[in-house]
Amino acid sequence: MGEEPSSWEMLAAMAVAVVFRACVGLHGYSGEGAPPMYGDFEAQRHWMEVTVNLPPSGWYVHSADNDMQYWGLDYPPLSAHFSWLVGQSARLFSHPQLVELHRSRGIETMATRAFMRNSVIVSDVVFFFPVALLCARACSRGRHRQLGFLVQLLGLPAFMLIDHGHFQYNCVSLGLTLWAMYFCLIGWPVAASVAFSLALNFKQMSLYLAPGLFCYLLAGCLRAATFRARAANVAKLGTAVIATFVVCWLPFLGDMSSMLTVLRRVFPIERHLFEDKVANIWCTLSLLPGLKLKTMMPIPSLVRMTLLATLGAILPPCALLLRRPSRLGFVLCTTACGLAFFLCSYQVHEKHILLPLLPASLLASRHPLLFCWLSTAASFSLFPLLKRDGQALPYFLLQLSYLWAGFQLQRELDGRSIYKEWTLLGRCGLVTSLAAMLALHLAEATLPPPERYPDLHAVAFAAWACAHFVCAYFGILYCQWRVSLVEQSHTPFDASDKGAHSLFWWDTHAKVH
Amino acid sequence: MGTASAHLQLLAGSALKLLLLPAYHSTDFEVHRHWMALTSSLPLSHWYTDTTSEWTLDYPPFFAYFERCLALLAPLFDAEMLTLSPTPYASPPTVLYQRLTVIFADIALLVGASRLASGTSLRLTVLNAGLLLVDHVHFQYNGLLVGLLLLVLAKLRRGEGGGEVCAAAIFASLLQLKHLFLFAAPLVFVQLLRHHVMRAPRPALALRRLAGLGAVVVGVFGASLAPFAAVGQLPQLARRLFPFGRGLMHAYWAANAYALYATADKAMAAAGRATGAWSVAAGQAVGTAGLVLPDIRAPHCAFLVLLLQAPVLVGTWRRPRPEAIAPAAVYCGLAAFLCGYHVHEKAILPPLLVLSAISPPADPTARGVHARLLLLLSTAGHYALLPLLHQPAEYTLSRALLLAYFAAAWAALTPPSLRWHDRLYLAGFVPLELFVSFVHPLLLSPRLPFLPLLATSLYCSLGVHMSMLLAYRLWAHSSNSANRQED
Repeated sequence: MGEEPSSWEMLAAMAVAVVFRACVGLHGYSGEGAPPMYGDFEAQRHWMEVTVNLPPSGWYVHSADNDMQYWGLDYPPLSAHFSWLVGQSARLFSHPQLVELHRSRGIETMATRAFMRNSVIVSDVVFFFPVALLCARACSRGRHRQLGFLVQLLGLPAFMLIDHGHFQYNCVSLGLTLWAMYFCLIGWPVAASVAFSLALNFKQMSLYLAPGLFCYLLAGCLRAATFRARAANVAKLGTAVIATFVVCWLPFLGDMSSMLTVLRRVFPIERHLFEDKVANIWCTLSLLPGLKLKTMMPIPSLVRMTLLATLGAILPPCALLLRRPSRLGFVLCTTACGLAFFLCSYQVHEKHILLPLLPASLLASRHPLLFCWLSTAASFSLFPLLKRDGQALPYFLLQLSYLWAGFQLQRELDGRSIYKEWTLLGRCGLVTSLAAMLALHLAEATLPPPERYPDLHAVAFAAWACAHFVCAYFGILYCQWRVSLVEQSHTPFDASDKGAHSLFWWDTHAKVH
Repeated sequence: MGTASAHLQLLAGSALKLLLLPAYHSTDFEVHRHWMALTSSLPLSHWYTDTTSEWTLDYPPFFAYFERCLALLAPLFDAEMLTLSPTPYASPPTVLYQRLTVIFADIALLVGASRLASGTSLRLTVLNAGLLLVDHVHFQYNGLLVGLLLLVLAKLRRGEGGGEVCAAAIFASLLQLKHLFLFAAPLVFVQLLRHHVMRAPRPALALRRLAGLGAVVVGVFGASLAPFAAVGQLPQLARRLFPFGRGLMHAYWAANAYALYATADKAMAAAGRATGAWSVAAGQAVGTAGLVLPDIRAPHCAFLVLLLQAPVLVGTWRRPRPEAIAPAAVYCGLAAFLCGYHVHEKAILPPLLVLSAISPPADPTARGVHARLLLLLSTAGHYALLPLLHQPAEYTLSRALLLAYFAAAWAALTPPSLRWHDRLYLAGFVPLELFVSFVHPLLLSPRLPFLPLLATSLYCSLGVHMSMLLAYRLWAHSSNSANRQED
């Protein structure tokens, strides 16, 4: 049991992951055949068109060639550079019509679709797969466990369905974030800062996970013996971060106004508290009679309120981590911060649930079923969106397979009896939760919503998922507290103490739950 | 492999088949739709004469009955699919229904394979990448047919009297489903005759057994053909089943001996005339009348196949070991693939699937041969299928699927004792793929349009030829080792 999985097994698992991504890509995507605005697929394609044809100074500015009302670029510069790269490769691989200025709008030929889908798969394989493999090797021991963990990481339905179904390039920012976390865990703080700065510059939503990384790195800096060493550590990390940012922002550093333009595009306060039906507390609270937050308060006070709530929610995990930094504590804190942002912050999209899911996935080797539960709830919260995209069939297939895989892996971990370590409460909770999800799906499929509440189903999905995320937040906070009592201390500045493959085997120590 | 990962793989396979619903389907989809419409809306006497669509019925009667049965449930999805029409019809419910019939028909494969194989071999058989591509993307019912073949081989391998009669009945039915499986008929015949009939202790019993087998086969064939004989359709049926006018080779050359033969022929013609003989036909050849080398016709092919199969048939005659039946079937299948008349690239699937259902032998030499054979044949055979899926949407899917299968097979056979030339050959697929998918379309196209297909056929053909030799060695090993055990 103790031997390493052969690299061929790992290769096979990764190739199967690619097969599933390609299969999901055969189904619909956001805004397929829906002029005039289409959807995220067209947005990504449009950015390729804009970046390839215009100089960087024109990327974020409204002009005759760049209509900001039509999917204006609203991601940070690294995203734009990335779009440029994909656009150029479209030209290289003989699809110039995909990025032709103006005339390419809404282009959906078979060849260009395939190119776009393939570009996401390649990004996934380049940015996410290698680090997933490294994490699998480092996070768990024994060949079944490593293979199982890799399957859990690469098979995450939410990641697959949003990137390869709905159509986005989250794999890049999530991959970079995972690289940053991996570097933190093996004790390469500078590399971690660079990787996370790149992630931030790819998608500003990576900020959700920033407090965890920040506190872990800061704790490391502050633990140095002398003031001089502390200052040196801070300076090292600061330089790395600033240098990375400078490189990403290079084309916009010329004058202040263009920087501000980009910033305003990236953080659009004028958009509202939440869009569609999001499984966070504001959307759920709006269900209560007389709590229509969107209309009750002016925007500035809404922003202030969400800011305070978010700060309040990330404070406990960050304080715990700063007080007693450890590897497991770091992963838990990052997850808690991600959930806190998702639940409480301003302008949250339903897709942002991917962010807390990423650090949580590192816990899957220890608790396959528990993580699987969280993943199921996350995908469940995405269902209304996925259904619109024509991804209902892949959703159900992946969701069921993943859940089943979670049970199997848990059984393999525990021997014959699953739930060995689960309390009665946990078991009842799991059964209730899954049964309610099933019931909501059945209701959605069979009962039309009443005329007064056309969004009833979407709201019900969001509220039920929100309940899970709130529980997950408090559960993780509790675990972090328990961990802070037992786990041995570690910061990114501590050189890895054991061999390269025994960095953070949580299955050997740290009895959580 | 733990049981969890075993289940996980089978589950992933089933999920994958459903995920492939919207994938590209070839004209074979319309072929089967048309046959459903044909068999459900016309009387039996018109099945083999109707020419409403260009996709006339050219499978034996049992398959026509099968389509007739499928047509029974079709109205639940879309009754329109049962309307005879010369134009293709593929509404979403039609696609759903037909894809589901393939998925359900795969149960036969699961049953057949689980009788013959277990563990990793079972998974390598049921989740064969080529089968997924051909059945669940391209659209055919190979899973059902090969499943029956595996069932026949499993019953023959057990070597029990009743089972052998049953095998004869199933094999006769299989022939009446698709006559491609004639390639195994000599082998099955020899095996039944020698092991079932002639090993009987008394001549009277042998005669009784022979009569029993004859009755079973005649019964099955009668059930299949009698209704057509009654309406005087047999000659027409035979014309449809054996259309010898179609030429030695399919439009896309299967990776067999004739790919080498025709290339040599064209090369010699081109060298001889130093003119554009290449541009006429190669790669996309329609007629393949030899330009320089002699023309090959159907009887020659039949003779060549029997000649190639002869060593194994004679060996089986002398030592009819039940244990050696599966390797013998692999060899006979490869012989038919290499030298058969108008062979499709898909015909590699029966020998390949039988091979993957053979679990690794215990003897180290045989084990090495088995590993080499499985890796070479699956890679060459699978890669030669890729030109079937020429749409851009399935590019990544098909390549990743092949890679996954290769890696899984490699991991299952660890350590596969490959020779240097095996490794070299397998590595050669990387430059081949780069050339076919990138170098040619980006740099050379539209010049030399036939080159990618030609290169694929030739290179894969090389691997199939090597596999043929290895298959013989595998059979010889299992035949001899069985012999030794008995001594």
